[in-house]
Amino acid sequence: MKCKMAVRQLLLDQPDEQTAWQQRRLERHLADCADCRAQRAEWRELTAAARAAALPPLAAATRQRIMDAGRRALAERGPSARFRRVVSTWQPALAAAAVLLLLVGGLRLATKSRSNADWDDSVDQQLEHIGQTLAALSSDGPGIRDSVPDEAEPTWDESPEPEEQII
Amino acid sequence: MGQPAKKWIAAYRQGDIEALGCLVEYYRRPLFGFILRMTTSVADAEDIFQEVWFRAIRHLDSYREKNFLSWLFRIARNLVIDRARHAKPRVHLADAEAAAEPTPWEARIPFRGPGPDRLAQGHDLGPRIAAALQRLPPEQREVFAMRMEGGLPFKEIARLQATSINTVLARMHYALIKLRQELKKDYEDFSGVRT
Repeated sequence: MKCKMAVRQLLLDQPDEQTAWQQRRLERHLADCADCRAQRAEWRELTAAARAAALPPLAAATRQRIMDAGRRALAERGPSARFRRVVSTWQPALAAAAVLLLLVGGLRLATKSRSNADWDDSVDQQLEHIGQTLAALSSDGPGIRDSVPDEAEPTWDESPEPEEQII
Repeated sequence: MGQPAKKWIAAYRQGDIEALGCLVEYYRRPLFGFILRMTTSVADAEDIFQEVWFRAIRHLDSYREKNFLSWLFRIARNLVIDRARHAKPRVHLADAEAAAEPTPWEARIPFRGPGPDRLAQGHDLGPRIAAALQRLPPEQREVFAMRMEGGLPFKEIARLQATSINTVLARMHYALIKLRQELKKDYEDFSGVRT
Protein backbone atom coordinates (compact mmCIF):
# COMPACT_ATOMS: atom_id res chain seq x y z
CA MET A 1 0.00 0.00 0.00
CA LYS A 2 1.27 3.49 -0.86
CA CYS A 3 1.31 6.35 1.64
CA LYS A 4 -1.30 8.32 -0.32
CA MET A 5 -3.73 5.43 -0.08
CA ALA A 6 -2.85 4.76 3.56
CA VAL A 7 -3.52 8.37 4.56
CA ARG A 8 -6.96 8.16 2.94
CA GLN A 9 -7.65 4.91 4.75
CA LEU A 10 -6.69 6.48 8.06
CA LEU A 11 -9.78 8.64 7.83
CA LEU A 12 -12.07 5.62 7.72
CA ASP A 13 -11.93 5.01 11.44
CA GLN A 14 -15.52 4.04 12.12
CA PRO A 15 -16.63 0.42 12.44
CA ASP A 16 -17.77 -1.11 9.14
CA GLU A 17 -16.05 1.53 7.05
CA GLN A 18 -13.18 -0.79 6.27
CA THR A 19 -13.11 -4.48 5.59
CA ALA A 20 -10.93 -6.71 7.73
CA TRP A 21 -8.64 -7.14 4.77
CA GLN A 22 -8.24 -3.37 4.33
CA GLN A 23 -7.54 -2.96 8.03
CA ARG A 24 -4.84 -5.61 7.95
CA ARG A 25 -3.23 -3.96 4.91
CA LEU A 26 -3.27 -0.59 6.64
CA GLU A 27 -1.81 -1.98 9.82
CA ARG A 28 0.97 -3.66 7.85
CA HIS A 29 1.74 -0.36 6.14
CA LEU A 30 1.72 1.58 9.40
CA ALA A 31 4.08 -0.92 10.95
CA ASP A 32 6.63 -0.05 8.26
CA CYS A 33 5.93 3.66 7.69
CA ALA A 34 6.88 6.13 10.42
CA ASP A 35 5.46 9.13 8.50
CA CYS A 36 1.98 7.62 8.28
CA ARG A 37 2.13 6.63 11.94
CA ALA A 38 2.98 10.21 12.87
CA GLN A 39 0.17 11.47 10.65
CA ARG A 40 -2.29 9.18 12.36
CA ALA A 41 -1.19 10.37 15.80
CA GLU A 42 -1.55 14.03 14.79
CA TRP A 43 -4.99 13.54 13.34
CA ARG A 44 -6.19 11.62 16.33
CA GLU A 45 -5.15 14.41 18.65
CA LEU A 46 -6.62 17.06 16.42
CA THR A 47 -9.96 15.31 16.06
CA ALA A 48 -10.05 14.53 19.78
CA ALA A 49 -9.52 18.23 20.53
CA ALA A 50 -12.26 19.19 18.06
CA ARG A 51 -14.69 16.68 19.54
CA ALA A 52 -13.88 17.69 23.08
CA ALA A 53 -14.85 21.32 22.54
CA ALA A 54 -17.92 21.95 24.68
CA LEU A 55 -20.96 23.64 23.22
CA PRO A 56 -22.70 26.68 24.60
CA PRO A 57 -25.93 25.64 26.32
CA LEU A 58 -29.10 25.82 24.30
CA ALA A 59 -31.31 28.72 25.38
CA ALA A 60 -34.29 27.58 27.43
CA ALA A 61 -36.57 29.74 25.27
CA THR A 62 -35.44 27.93 22.12
CA ARG A 63 -36.13 24.59 23.68
CA GLN A 64 -39.50 25.82 24.90
CA ARG A 65 -40.48 27.02 21.41
CA ILE A 66 -39.60 23.61 19.96
CA MET A 67 -41.71 21.86 22.58
CA ASP A 68 -44.61 24.26 21.95
CA ALA A 69 -44.40 23.53 18.24
CA GLY A 70 -44.45 19.84 19.05
CA ARG A 71 -47.55 20.26 21.23
CA ARG A 72 -49.32 22.27 18.54
CA ALA A 73 -48.50 19.64 15.94
CA LEU A 74 -49.93 16.93 18.16
CA ALA A 75 -53.06 18.97 18.84
CA GLU A 76 -53.60 19.62 15.15
CA ARG A 77 -53.47 15.95 14.44
CA GLY A 78 -57.10 15.00 14.26
CA PRO A 79 -58.66 11.87 12.84
CA SER A 80 -57.97 13.14 9.35
CA ALA A 81 -54.25 13.35 10.08
CA ARG A 82 -54.33 9.88 11.57
CA PHE A 83 -56.18 8.67 8.48
CA ARG A 84 -53.58 10.34 6.26
CA ARG A 85 -50.83 8.67 8.25
CA VAL A 86 -52.48 5.28 7.89
CA VAL A 87 -53.01 5.86 4.18
CA SER A 88 -49.42 7.02 3.84
CA THR A 89 -48.15 3.94 5.68
CA TRP A 90 -50.29 1.53 3.73
CA GLN A 91 -50.15 3.41 0.45
CA PRO A 92 -48.32 0.73 -1.56
CA ALA A 93 -50.51 -2.04 -0.19
CA LEU A 94 -53.68 -0.01 -0.82
CA ALA A 95 -52.60 0.79 -4.37
CA ALA A 96 -51.88 -2.88 -5.05
CA ALA A 97 -55.24 -3.88 -3.55
CA ALA A 98 -57.05 -1.29 -5.68
CA VAL A 99 -55.38 -2.53 -8.86
CA LEU A 100 -56.18 -6.12 -7.93
CA LEU A 101 -59.79 -5.18 -7.23
CA LEU A 102 -60.08 -3.43 -10.55
CA LEU A 103 -58.59 -6.41 -12.37
CA VAL A 104 -60.85 -8.91 -10.63
CA GLY A 105 -63.91 -6.69 -11.13
CA GLY A 106 -63.14 -6.16 -14.79
CA LEU A 107 -62.51 -9.84 -15.35
CA ARG A 108 -65.76 -10.76 -13.62
CA LEU A 109 -67.74 -8.26 -15.63
CA ALA A 110 -66.26 -9.52 -18.87
CA THR A 111 -67.04 -13.14 -17.95
CA LYS A 112 -70.58 -12.28 -16.94
CA SER A 113 -71.39 -10.40 -20.14
CA ARG A 114 -70.10 -13.30 -22.20
CA SER A 115 -72.21 -15.84 -20.28
CA ASN A 116 -75.25 -13.56 -20.67
CA ALA A 117 -74.72 -13.54 -24.39
CA ASP A 118 -74.48 -17.34 -24.39
CA TRP A 119 -77.65 -17.60 -22.33
CA ASP A 120 -79.51 -15.30 -24.73
CA ASP A 121 -78.45 -17.42 -27.68
CA SER A 122 -79.58 -20.67 -26.11
CA VAL A 123 -82.94 -19.22 -25.09
CA ASP A 124 -83.50 -17.98 -28.62
CA GLN A 125 -82.64 -21.37 -29.99
CA GLN A 126 -84.99 -23.11 -27.60
CA LEU A 127 -87.83 -20.72 -28.32
CA GLU A 128 -87.30 -21.19 -32.01
CA HIS A 129 -87.31 -24.96 -31.56
CA ILE A 130 -90.54 -24.83 -29.56
CA GLY A 131 -92.11 -22.65 -32.19
CA GLN A 132 -91.15 -25.07 -34.92
CA THR A 133 -92.51 -28.02 -32.96
CA LEU A 134 -95.80 -26.25 -32.37
CA ALA A 135 -96.11 -25.35 -36.01
CA ALA A 136 -95.44 -28.93 -37.04
CA LEU A 137 -97.99 -30.27 -34.63
CA SER A 138 -100.72 -27.91 -35.73
CA SER A 139 -100.29 -28.69 -39.45
CA ASP A 140 -99.80 -32.53 -39.48
CA GLY A 141 -101.71 -34.47 -36.82
CA PRO A 142 -104.85 -33.98 -34.89
CA GLY A 143 -103.07 -31.79 -32.67
CA ILE A 144 -103.32 -31.39 -29.06
CA ARG A 145 -106.28 -29.15 -29.23
CA ASP A 146 -108.29 -31.61 -31.40
CA SER A 147 -107.75 -34.49 -29.02
CA VAL A 148 -109.33 -32.68 -26.13
CA PRO A 149 -113.08 -33.15 -26.05
CA ASP A 150 -115.16 -30.03 -25.99
CA GLU A 151 -117.37 -29.90 -23.02
CA ALA A 152 -120.18 -28.17 -24.84
CA GLU A 153 -120.41 -30.63 -27.68
CA PRO A 154 -122.43 -33.84 -27.24
CA THR A 155 -120.78 -37.12 -27.69
CA TRP A 156 -121.98 -40.09 -29.75
CA ASP A 157 -122.22 -42.41 -26.89
CA GLU A 158 -124.86 -40.35 -25.19
CA SER A 159 -128.11 -42.21 -25.36
CA PRO A 160 -130.81 -40.42 -27.29
CA GLU A 161 -133.85 -39.31 -25.55
CA PRO A 162 -136.52 -42.03 -25.72
CA GLU A 163 -139.23 -41.32 -28.22
CA GLU A 164 -142.74 -41.22 -26.99
CA GLN A 165 -144.58 -44.41 -27.77
CA ILE A 166 -148.02 -44.18 -29.36
CA ILE A 167 -150.21 -46.77 -28.00
CA MET B 1 -30.49 5.56 14.10
CA GLY B 2 -30.15 4.49 17.72
CA GLN B 3 -32.77 2.34 19.35
CA PRO B 4 -33.84 5.00 21.88
CA ALA B 5 -34.31 7.55 19.09
CA LYS B 6 -36.51 5.13 17.19
CA LYS B 7 -38.53 4.52 20.32
CA TRP B 8 -38.91 8.26 21.00
CA ILE B 9 -39.99 8.98 17.44
CA ALA B 10 -42.63 6.28 17.68
CA ALA B 11 -43.75 7.56 21.10
CA TYR B 12 -44.03 11.12 19.84
CA ARG B 13 -46.06 9.95 16.86
CA GLN B 14 -48.39 8.33 19.35
CA GLY B 15 -48.78 11.66 21.15
CA ASP B 16 -46.11 11.59 23.86
CA ILE B 17 -44.69 15.13 24.00
CA GLU B 18 -41.97 14.13 26.47
CA ALA B 19 -40.51 11.86 23.81
CA LEU B 20 -39.90 14.95 21.67
CA GLY B 21 -37.96 16.52 24.53
CA CYS B 22 -35.80 13.41 24.75
CA LEU B 23 -35.17 13.52 21.00
CA VAL B 24 -34.16 17.19 21.07
CA GLU B 25 -31.74 16.52 23.92
CA TYR B 26 -30.37 13.36 22.36
CA TYR B 27 -29.50 15.12 19.10
CA ARG B 28 -28.59 18.47 20.60
CA ARG B 29 -24.83 17.97 20.67
CA PRO B 30 -24.31 16.71 17.09
CA LEU B 31 -26.91 18.95 15.49
CA PHE B 32 -26.20 22.14 17.38
CA GLY B 33 -22.46 21.50 17.06
CA PHE B 34 -22.74 21.10 13.32
CA ILE B 35 -24.82 24.26 12.95
CA LEU B 36 -22.41 26.20 15.16
CA ARG B 37 -19.50 25.14 12.95
CA MET B 38 -21.36 26.32 9.88
CA THR B 39 -22.50 29.68 11.25
CA THR B 40 -20.75 32.45 13.09
CA SER B 41 -23.06 33.32 15.96
CA VAL B 42 -24.87 31.40 18.65
CA ALA B 43 -28.04 33.37 17.90
CA ASP B 44 -28.00 32.24 14.26
CA ALA B 45 -27.20 28.70 15.30
CA GLU B 46 -30.11 28.68 17.75
CA ASP B 47 -32.47 30.07 15.11
CA ILE B 48 -31.46 27.39 12.66
CA PHE B 49 -31.54 24.67 15.30
CA GLN B 50 -35.08 25.69 16.21
CA GLU B 51 -36.16 25.84 12.57
CA VAL B 52 -34.69 22.38 11.92
CA TRP B 53 -36.92 20.98 14.66
CA PHE B 54 -39.97 22.90 13.44
CA ARG B 55 -39.53 21.35 10.03
CA ALA B 56 -38.74 17.93 11.45
CA ILE B 57 -41.92 18.03 13.56
CA ARG B 58 -43.98 19.08 10.55
CA HIS B 59 -42.65 16.25 8.40
CA LEU B 60 -42.17 13.57 11.00
CA ASP B 61 -45.12 11.60 9.66
CA SER B 62 -43.52 11.29 6.27
CA TYR B 63 -40.06 10.51 7.66
CA ARG B 64 -38.89 7.16 6.27
CA GLU B 65 -35.10 7.33 6.28
CA LYS B 66 -32.86 5.01 8.26
CA ASN B 67 -30.62 7.64 9.80
CA PHE B 68 -32.55 10.29 11.70
CA LEU B 69 -29.45 12.40 12.39
CA SER B 70 -28.59 12.41 8.72
CA TRP B 71 -32.12 13.62 8.00
CA LEU B 72 -31.74 16.41 10.56
CA PHE B 73 -28.36 17.33 9.08
CA ARG B 74 -29.89 17.60 5.64
CA ILE B 75 -32.57 19.99 6.89
CA ALA B 76 -29.92 21.98 8.78
CA ARG B 77 -27.63 22.09 5.77
CA ASN B 78 -30.40 23.48 3.56
CA LEU B 79 -31.25 26.10 6.15
CA VAL B 80 -27.62 27.13 6.58
CA ILE B 81 -27.21 27.51 2.82
CA ASP B 82 -30.50 29.45 2.53
CA ARG B 83 -29.49 31.77 5.32
CA ALA B 84 -26.04 32.28 3.88
CA ARG B 85 -27.60 33.23 0.55
CA HIS B 86 -30.25 35.56 1.93
CA ALA B 87 -28.51 37.12 4.91
CA LYS B 88 -24.86 37.18 4.08
CA PRO B 89 -24.00 39.93 6.52
CA ARG B 90 -25.22 37.77 9.41
CA VAL B 91 -24.01 34.33 8.38
CA HIS B 92 -21.10 33.56 6.11
CA LEU B 93 -19.65 30.30 4.99
CA ALA B 94 -16.22 31.28 3.76
CA ASP B 95 -15.28 34.68 4.95
CA ALA B 96 -11.65 34.47 5.93
CA GLU B 97 -11.43 38.03 7.20
CA ALA B 98 -14.25 37.66 9.66
CA ALA B 99 -12.66 34.60 11.14
CA ALA B 100 -9.40 36.35 11.86
CA GLU B 101 -10.70 37.34 15.27
CA PRO B 102 -12.68 35.08 17.53
CA THR B 103 -16.38 35.36 16.81
CA PRO B 104 -18.91 35.46 19.64
CA TRP B 105 -19.78 31.78 19.52
CA GLU B 106 -16.16 30.77 19.35
CA ALA B 107 -15.46 32.83 22.42
CA ARG B 108 -18.24 31.02 24.24
CA ILE B 109 -16.95 27.53 23.57
CA PRO B 110 -15.08 26.22 26.56
CA PHE B 111 -12.58 23.50 25.84
CA ARG B 112 -12.47 20.34 27.89
CA GLY B 113 -9.51 18.62 26.25
CA PRO B 114 -6.35 20.11 27.68
CA GLY B 115 -7.52 20.50 31.26
CA PRO B 116 -7.51 23.46 33.64
CA ASP B 117 -3.74 23.80 33.77
CA ARG B 118 -3.41 24.26 30.04
CA LEU B 119 -6.44 26.54 29.97
CA ALA B 120 -4.76 28.69 32.58
CA GLN B 121 -1.66 28.81 30.40
CA GLY B 122 -3.64 29.99 27.41
CA HIS B 123 -3.31 26.73 25.46
CA ASP B 124 -7.03 26.38 24.82
CA LEU B 125 -7.21 24.67 21.45
CA GLY B 126 -11.01 24.45 21.08
CA PRO B 127 -11.72 28.06 20.12
CA ARG B 128 -8.64 28.06 17.91
CA ILE B 129 -9.90 25.03 16.05
CA ALA B 130 -13.25 26.75 15.67
CA ALA B 131 -11.55 29.88 14.34
CA ALA B 132 -9.36 27.88 11.99
CA LEU B 133 -12.42 26.02 10.75
CA GLN B 134 -13.96 29.31 9.68
CA ARG B 135 -11.09 29.78 7.26
CA LEU B 136 -11.75 26.48 5.52
CA PRO B 137 -13.81 26.32 2.32
CA PRO B 138 -17.43 25.53 3.26
CA GLU B 139 -17.45 22.08 1.66
CA GLN B 140 -14.42 21.00 3.65
CA ARG B 141 -15.75 22.55 6.83
CA GLU B 142 -19.06 20.81 6.32
CA VAL B 143 -17.42 17.39 5.94
CA PHE B 144 -15.28 18.02 9.01
CA ALA B 145 -18.27 19.17 11.09
CA MET B 146 -20.53 16.31 10.03
CA ARG B 147 -17.83 13.81 10.82
CA MET B 148 -16.61 15.35 14.06
CA GLU B 149 -19.93 16.41 15.52
CA GLY B 150 -22.32 13.86 14.11
CA GLY B 151 -19.97 10.97 13.49
CA LEU B 152 -21.70 10.39 10.18
CA PRO B 153 -20.21 7.74 7.92
CA PHE B 154 -18.43 9.18 4.89
CA LYS B 155 -20.89 7.38 2.66
CA GLU B 156 -23.73 9.30 4.28
CA ILE B 157 -21.87 12.60 4.02
CA ALA B 158 -21.28 11.91 0.33
CA ARG B 159 -25.01 11.37 -0.10
CA LEU B 160 -25.82 14.65 1.66
CA GLN B 161 -23.30 16.58 -0.40
CA ALA B 162 -24.43 14.78 -3.56
CA THR B 163 -20.90 13.78 -4.43
CA SER B 164 -18.67 10.72 -4.44
CA ILE B 165 -17.13 9.21 -1.33
CA ASN B 166 -13.66 9.83 -2.76
CA THR B 167 -14.41 13.55 -3.04
CA VAL B 168 -15.61 13.58 0.55
CA LEU B 169 -12.49 11.76 1.73
CA ALA B 170 -10.34 14.24 -0.17
CA ARG B 171 -12.20 17.16 1.44
CA MET B 172 -11.65 15.69 4.89
CA HIS B 173 -8.02 15.08 4.10
CA TYR B 174 -7.47 18.69 2.95
CA ALA B 175 -9.41 20.02 5.92
CA LEU B 176 -7.15 18.15 8.34
CA ILE B 177 -4.00 19.27 6.53
CA LYS B 178 -5.10 22.91 6.56
CA LEU B 179 -6.17 22.76 10.20
CA ARG B 180 -2.84 21.21 11.05
CA GLN B 181 -1.04 24.05 9.28
CA GLU B 182 -3.24 26.72 10.86
CA LEU B 183 -2.84 25.27 14.32
CA LYS B 184 0.76 24.25 14.00
CA LYS B 185 2.03 26.21 16.96
CA ASP B 186 -1.06 25.75 19.15
CA TYR B 187 -1.23 22.10 18.29
CA GLU B 188 2.39 21.50 19.24
CA ASP B 189 1.89 23.30 22.52
CA PHE B 190 -1.28 21.31 23.13
CA SER B 191 0.10 17.91 22.26
CA GLY B 192 3.48 18.54 23.75
CA VAL B 193 4.98 16.26 21.12
CA ARG B 194 7.12 18.78 19.29
CA THR B 195 8.07 22.32 20.07
